[in-house]
Amino acid sequence: MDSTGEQAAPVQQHDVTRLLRAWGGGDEQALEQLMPLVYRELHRLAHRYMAREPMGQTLQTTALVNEVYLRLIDVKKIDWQDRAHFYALCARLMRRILVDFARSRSYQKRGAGVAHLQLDEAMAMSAMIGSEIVAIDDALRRLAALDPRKSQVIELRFFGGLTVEETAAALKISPETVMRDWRLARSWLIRELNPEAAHET
Amino acid sequence: MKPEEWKRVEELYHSALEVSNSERDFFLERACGEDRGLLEEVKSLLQGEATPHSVLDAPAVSALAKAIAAVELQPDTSGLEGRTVSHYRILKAIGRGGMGVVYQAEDLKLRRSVALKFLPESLAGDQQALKRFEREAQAASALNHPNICTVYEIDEVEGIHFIAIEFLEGETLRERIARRPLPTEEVLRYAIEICDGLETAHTAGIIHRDIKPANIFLTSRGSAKILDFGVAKRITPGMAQEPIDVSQLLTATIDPALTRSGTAVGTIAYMSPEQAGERELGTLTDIFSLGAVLYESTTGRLPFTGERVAEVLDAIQKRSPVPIETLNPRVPAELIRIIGKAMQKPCPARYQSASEMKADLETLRERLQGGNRAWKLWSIPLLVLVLLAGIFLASLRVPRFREAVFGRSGGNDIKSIAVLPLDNLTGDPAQQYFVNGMTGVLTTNLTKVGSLRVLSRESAEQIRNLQKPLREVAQQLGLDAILEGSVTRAGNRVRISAQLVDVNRDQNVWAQEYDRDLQDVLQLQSEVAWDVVKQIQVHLTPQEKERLTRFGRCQPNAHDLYLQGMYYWYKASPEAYAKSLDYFNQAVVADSSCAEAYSGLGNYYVIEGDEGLMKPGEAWPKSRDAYLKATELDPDLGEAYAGLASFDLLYAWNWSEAERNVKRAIELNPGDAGAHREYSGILRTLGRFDEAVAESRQAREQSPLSVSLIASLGWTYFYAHRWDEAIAQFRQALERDSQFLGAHEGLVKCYQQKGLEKEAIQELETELRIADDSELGQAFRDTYNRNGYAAALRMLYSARLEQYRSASREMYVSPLILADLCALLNEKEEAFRWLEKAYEERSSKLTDLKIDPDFDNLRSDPRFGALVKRIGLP
Repeated sequence: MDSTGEQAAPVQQHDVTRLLRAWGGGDEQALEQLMPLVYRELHRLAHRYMAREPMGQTLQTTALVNEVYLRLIDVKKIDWQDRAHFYALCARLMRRILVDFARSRSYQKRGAGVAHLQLDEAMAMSAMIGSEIVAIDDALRRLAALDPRKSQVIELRFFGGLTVEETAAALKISPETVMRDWRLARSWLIRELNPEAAHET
Repeated sequence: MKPEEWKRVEELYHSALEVSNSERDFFLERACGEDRGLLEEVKSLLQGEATPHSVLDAPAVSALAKAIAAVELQPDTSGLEGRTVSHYRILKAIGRGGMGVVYQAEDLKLRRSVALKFLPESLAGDQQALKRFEREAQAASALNHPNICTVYEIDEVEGIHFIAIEFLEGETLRERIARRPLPTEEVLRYAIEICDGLETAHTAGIIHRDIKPANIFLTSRGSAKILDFGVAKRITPGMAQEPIDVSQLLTATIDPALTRSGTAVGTIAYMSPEQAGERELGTLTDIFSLGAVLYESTTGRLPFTGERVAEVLDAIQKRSPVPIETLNPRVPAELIRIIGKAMQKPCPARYQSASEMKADLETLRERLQGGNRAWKLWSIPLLVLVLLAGIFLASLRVPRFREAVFGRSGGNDIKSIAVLPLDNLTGDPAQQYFVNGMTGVLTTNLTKVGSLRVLSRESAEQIRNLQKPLREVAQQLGLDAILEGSVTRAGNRVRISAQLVDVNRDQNVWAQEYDRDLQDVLQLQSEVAWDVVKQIQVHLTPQEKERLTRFGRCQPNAHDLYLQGMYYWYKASPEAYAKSLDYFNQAVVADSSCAEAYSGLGNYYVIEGDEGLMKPGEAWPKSRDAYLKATELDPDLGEAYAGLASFDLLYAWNWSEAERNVKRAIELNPGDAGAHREYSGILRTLGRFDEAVAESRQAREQSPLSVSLIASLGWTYFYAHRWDEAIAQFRQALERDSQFLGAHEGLVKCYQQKGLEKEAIQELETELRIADDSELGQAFRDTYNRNGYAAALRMLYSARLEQYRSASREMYVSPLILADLCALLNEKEEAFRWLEKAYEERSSKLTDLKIDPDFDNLRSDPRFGALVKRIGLP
């Protein structure tokens, strides 16, 4: 466990909640303050992955991602009614920041702010992930025009990292509907991302 | 798309998923009817269902984090280049390992190239990663072998963890195989070396567990090195092995962010069946993997392949690889058999050790190199090729031809070597004994190699005193190489750095640093010698190989006491001898099974007995007992046999036993000058003067700078009545050390034999001057001037006789000395009385009675012949 993170978290949680509200209220300045906090969590998560040997253990992805949110936001302190809204806000925030980040990695033009994360040319795989995330973001905009709810399901689950139940709560639909939406949206996105060879991995 | 259309697509999509795969097409055809657009739309979407993995399946934050992890695991290389970390200046990135980037760096202290492997900064705080990193360093540093990439140190500076390893130039076997399959000769050469390295690792209880072409480095010098002990495991007796979790490998393989395609698969391809089946692993897993590596080297193909990891693992456990001969008909049948045996699926059917496999490979290599018989093993296409090559190379000498066909065999023509005294870098003069001891043991270890001329320790010590350029001295002494280095000792660690210089080419051939626990110092000593021998690629007999790799089992503290004892023993003064005795005794107490310590004790008593400082009856039996105990504890301890030979010759008067023991000593340490000198002494006693001269010459050749060995040859010539040659040697000894009394004494006797009175007188005066006996010197000169040569000698002998007589009241004086002086004074009765006494107590030098001209006055007396007979002199 990273001791510095443990100590810093409570203070940060409060900040994140406040900043998130501000950003939700249209304060773009708040995003700039949120970004480094999310980056920090991203790196912490990355380190957790690195901690495993290269041929390492199965990663408990969901657990690790949940931890990111728990660090960022003290969900228990947020009103039940407010929580759905917060989930949505959070997912939007993550989408915004992660896509920005992925874009900066893909094109390396905006990498100055994350200088210590310079892209290694050899790591084509990383670059690929970055460009895929950017492509998903683009495709999601098109999906939103066609089926806003399915786009939201993707946003909440993929960018927000929410579980099916959380997604359902945020969208006020049943988990079954979330699953159905997810299934179709996933297939739709896969086809959009790779129109010629949707059958390939 | 209109919302209604989309709604229809959605409905059909989910409905189609409810029907089974085989019915789905039919269902959709029927449902869509004429609407081909709708059908295509739903069908293309359903293909997404069949896509097992998508970036969408894990949260974006996780995918990105993995991407970051992957990048940071392979960190940006530009940042470190040009920086200095600890005493290393980082030059450039040279490769990537499983755990990060490897840099070439310069060791600013030792001025040599090293490779630095960094633990990525992002992992520094991670205990698991750090552990793995340390494990690599520890596993490999426990092993010092020319075919294992040497780990110099593991260190941490400002939170940056790194391992400094041997810098290698060349390429990995993986890169080499990728270019073209390897010729048999090359495969054999590195296979033998890898076996050698593996044997060392296995003997040390370390399994590599990841032998594959990417972990075998072929240096530009043509030798193979095993890399990356990152997943190596120490065998803990009685404990089950922790197998590599293959399911984890599976995860890794399909985890695009963490593993570049092929990395994990590459590892899987060389796994042993027990590894693939996640069973307990022993050393034989490495044998299998090596077999797989050799399979690929000879055929250019992997023995086990598959579309998916699981298929490969299954093939390893169940299937037989495609026969090598069908893939490459040039591979000798015997090599195919060896590879096949290494790759046997059940462990008991495999080679049971790397050395066993190596022996087969070596036999094959010898056969292939050994002339006509070899050709049978080569198949026709290669034979044709070789014959064609032969036409082109017909004008070249045969060795060149061989070289062209088989590649250079790698010899660097080093046939003689000197170990310069290692530098004491401990900063503590009190540690000198330890440093000297390291030099001494290293030298002794090298003398085990018969085809290598090793300059004696005594001579090597003189080299630096000559104050001439090393190269010049080396050439004068006929040396091909010089081994130099230093020793540091801190707490329980000992570090030896060694460097081999090729004198003829004026270049460093090899340098290595060894950092060990003091507990392992005995092993370390034999390893250094072994490494040197490997480097110079001198011919070794199997016995020599075995002896070189064997080392004593003394307790470290006993060994340390032994080294202190030897330090004083070499100082060769009465006080120092007393100290050496003290240390040897302590060593024996500290470890009653320490062979060297007993041998040291034996050495001490030989000096006491031989120099007539102690009564022979007291000294010699003790020396015999000590040496016998030493040989009992270590039957390969050459110096102990040489010591026993001294006892047999000088005290037991058992000539055949003396010869037998000295021959054993020479067999064990052919390069030991002392053993050859010992043999020479035995031979001269036996009247075999030509042989004695030959042995003496050999000792002198091994120790050209040793005054005592030069003089010793002089004495051998003297006893052989070859006066002029004797004089030449004594003079040479005096050139090296004008104060060396033994050489002056030798000259006096030679001049006397030749009737050169003036020269004899002059030498005697010098002798007296050196002995600082000015009173006697003056009296001698006066007598000579007044009464002539004979009177002066009588006066001198009388004076000495008187000196010894009075001394004998205070201390032990050998009766032989008194007999000698009486004989010279022609006091026959007195002489015989003392001789009888000498016989009774078996005075050491009595064995020279028959050949020593000092006793010429007694020869005509029947008692003399009788005594000679009683001693048993031939």
